[in-house]
Amino acid sequence: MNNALKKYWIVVVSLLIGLGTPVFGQVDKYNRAIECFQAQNYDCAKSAIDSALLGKELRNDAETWQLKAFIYWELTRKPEQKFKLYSAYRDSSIKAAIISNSLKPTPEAFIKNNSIIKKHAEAYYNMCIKFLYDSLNYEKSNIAFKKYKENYSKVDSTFDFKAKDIEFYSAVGSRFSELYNSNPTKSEYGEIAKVALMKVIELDPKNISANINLGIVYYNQGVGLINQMSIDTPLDKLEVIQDNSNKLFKQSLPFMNKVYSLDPKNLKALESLRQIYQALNETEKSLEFNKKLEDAKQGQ
Amino acid sequence: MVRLIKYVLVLVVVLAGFGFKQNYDTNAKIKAVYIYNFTRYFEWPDAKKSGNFQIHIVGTNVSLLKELNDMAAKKKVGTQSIEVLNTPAFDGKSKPHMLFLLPEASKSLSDAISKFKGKGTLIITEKEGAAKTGAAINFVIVENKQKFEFSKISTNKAGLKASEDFKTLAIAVD
Repeated sequence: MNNALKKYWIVVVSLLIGLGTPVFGQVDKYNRAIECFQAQNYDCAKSAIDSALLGKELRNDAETWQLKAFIYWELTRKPEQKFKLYSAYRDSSIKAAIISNSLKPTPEAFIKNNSIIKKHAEAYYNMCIKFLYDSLNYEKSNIAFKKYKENYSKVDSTFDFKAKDIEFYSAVGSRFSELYNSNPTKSEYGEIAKVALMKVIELDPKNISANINLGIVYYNQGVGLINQMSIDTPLDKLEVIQDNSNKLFKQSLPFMNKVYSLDPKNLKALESLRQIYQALNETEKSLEFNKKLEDAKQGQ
Repeated sequence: MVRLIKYVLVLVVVLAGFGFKQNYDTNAKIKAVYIYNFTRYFEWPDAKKSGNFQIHIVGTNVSLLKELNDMAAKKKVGTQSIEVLNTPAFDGKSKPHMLFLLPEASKSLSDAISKFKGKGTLIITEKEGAAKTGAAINFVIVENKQKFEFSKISTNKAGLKASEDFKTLAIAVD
């Protein structure tokens, strides 16, 4: 073999070795990722799976992407990540599960991928509850709820979210109306409650709780205008305040009347109607509902 | 291959919150604001410009009394402290700056008029037609709103002067 031929073979063998190394290296990294995952060392697993997916060979492997989805899911469970609304780990996990599903996985793997996406959806649902109750952050809670729906529909595109919408907006409405009613100076709470309760009523017009809560918010807004006015309010301004509070009392009426029509012995509705008519200076109607209230109480 | 993690969705039971202000009487607050305003639109005789500024409520209205007492604690009429009196019926013993005959006490209107004629007592009522039968001010409801009728003649007979623009704010009966 002459020198030229020798050089040629050296180049060919080197190229083959060079091309082969990443294949074996990526498989090693995949195996390493599994080891780390099983040892619950998720940072190590993340590093290994990310490396494994850098090359071309495993990029089209459904199982590798699924492993990534599970590793990143575990990373989102860390305390500092668990309630993170915008989490790169969560996004990566969901994306990996979707890619895995697109690569024709086995039926069992397909179900597992969907279960991961569902878990993320549920995590968003838990976040929306946490933001609502712990930090009173309606905006974040609403975003989390939308993300819950968006992700859940990825695994079940036919799922009917109506019941969940009612549940969520009822929770927002009751939470914020409760806060507003106990402190009417927090008008922003009243506005959030109104928007949420209106959504519930759009979805479920006969929802008694939403109708009552919305009626109460409007009534209390009217009362708040009068309660908060200063004793030395000028007469011309007093006229305007009365106009505005009456508008709110009248806005409260249809919701309370709705409840009354659905449940004529509903004590809250009867009590509310008595108060609203009293505030509107309609004494006869107020007395009529007072009598109905007393009768309903005795009938209980 | 991959261990499935059991996940339990936290279910939160949401109860509707009721924070209804069931006992708040909006009318009482509105009347109190009116009454305080009246102190600024009338001129009382010199003999009544010393001592406490007395507002006598005849009849029962717990909410109104509370509002007026709150007002008395915070406000004055000129330099005069406000004093709120309350009796269940008209007895003619007081010499108030304002006498408010609540609906159930409106039958005492003619007694009050004769008792306080020219003495500088602003007589207020809440009875249909009372402004035409001697009350200087009578609370009425118009289109769901609390308003008041005003009688300049009765005001003058009571020995009081109303400011010129007051009539424009009221439902004038004469």
